[in-house]
Amino acid sequence: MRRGSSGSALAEFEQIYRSNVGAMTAYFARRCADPQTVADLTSETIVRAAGAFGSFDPGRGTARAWLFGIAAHVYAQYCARAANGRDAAVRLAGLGELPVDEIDELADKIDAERAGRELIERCSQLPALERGAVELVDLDGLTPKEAAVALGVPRGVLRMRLSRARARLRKEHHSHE
Amino acid sequence: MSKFEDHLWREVVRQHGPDLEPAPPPRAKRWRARPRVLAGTTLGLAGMGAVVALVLGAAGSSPAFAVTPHQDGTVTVKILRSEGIAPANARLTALGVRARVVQVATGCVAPYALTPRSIAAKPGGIKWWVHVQTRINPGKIPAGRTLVIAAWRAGGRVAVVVDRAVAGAPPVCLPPIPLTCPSRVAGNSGNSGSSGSAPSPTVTSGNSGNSGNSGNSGSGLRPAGSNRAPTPAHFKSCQVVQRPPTSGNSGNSGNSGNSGS
Repeated sequence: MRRGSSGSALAEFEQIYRSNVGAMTAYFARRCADPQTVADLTSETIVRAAGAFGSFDPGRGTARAWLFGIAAHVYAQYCARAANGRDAAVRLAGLGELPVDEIDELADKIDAERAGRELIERCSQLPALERGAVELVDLDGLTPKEAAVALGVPRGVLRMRLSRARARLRKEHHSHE
Repeated sequence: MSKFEDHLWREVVRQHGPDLEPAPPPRAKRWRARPRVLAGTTLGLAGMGAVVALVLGAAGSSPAFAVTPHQDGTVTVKILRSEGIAPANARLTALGVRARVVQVATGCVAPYALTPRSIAAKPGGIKWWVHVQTRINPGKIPAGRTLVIAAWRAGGRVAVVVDRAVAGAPPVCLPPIPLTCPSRVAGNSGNSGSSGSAPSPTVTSGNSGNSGNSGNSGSGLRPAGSNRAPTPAHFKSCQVVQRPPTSGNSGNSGNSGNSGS
């Protein structure tokens, strides 16, 4: 199944944007403590999604899963660039430096995601796929089906990895008590 | 939505609205129900209201380019009109892609010539190898270099082809160049502009020596005994040499050609 009429592509994309931009911002706020970086990564994700919207096929998964897949890719590239000491975030040309009120807004969001950031830190010892599964389902609120699409793995594999990751985290938690 | 989210949306629409613009309807369908389509379009535009206004306000007209990042990190560059080159470059810069679209222009003086892959970069030249878009992988551009994408007008469209990654600033234009295959022309100077031993209507139409460019014709650029036009693979072993048209007899309009046998 393909997307609806191309004549309303902008309206469709706006709807997807408005429904998911909060979750996208939170996704990066859990991973970065700098408001400008959160803004840059969110904008990069949205720009990529706008560019690839023509090839988005709702039959293969929800828009939310599709966007999280892009966000995960953007974040992985950001980490790779940061590891290489290169300019880590690509800035949307018109976005520029954020005004103070928007920085405050994002700083609040980053603060609100503190618990999520701690969980992500605890997950850092997990294998990448298990970590991704826990983050997307337990932190970002995706369904296992959506998380499977975002991570590009079969649903059964995702469920198995998710279950295994939760068990490991529980075990680790009990051992600390 | 928060102020940041509103701000971001405005910028996305301003800069990338054209990417989301509906594609023009196929030409074949337009004539069939012309009156209805026109009426429908008018009503449709009125009904779409602010959303359409945003797109038209951002673009002003149909988009002249498309730079599309993909999930795998690659980027597709498409130039629909020459005016799209500058904004396409701005978009590539905004995306952090070290690539630049450079227009092929007659009379341009550049520090280097095109590679053999860009052989079709001759105005009015070979039409069997025209790409209207190209997909590049920014991750594979060597550090400190900028990938040059040559663009030229071809048959009412703008063709693009990846040229090379250059160190330092990329050229502002590229010249359409005479091409020879030194390893294949030994001892054979050609009659310029005319076909060589294996003429091809497709090739000779672009290399007839009438367009102010030297031509390449002859078996050196095609499989022996084949009447098919050469493919890009045939140019892989062909070196581009930029030199004055001295060899052979001059042909039509003083342009030299190279024909090998």
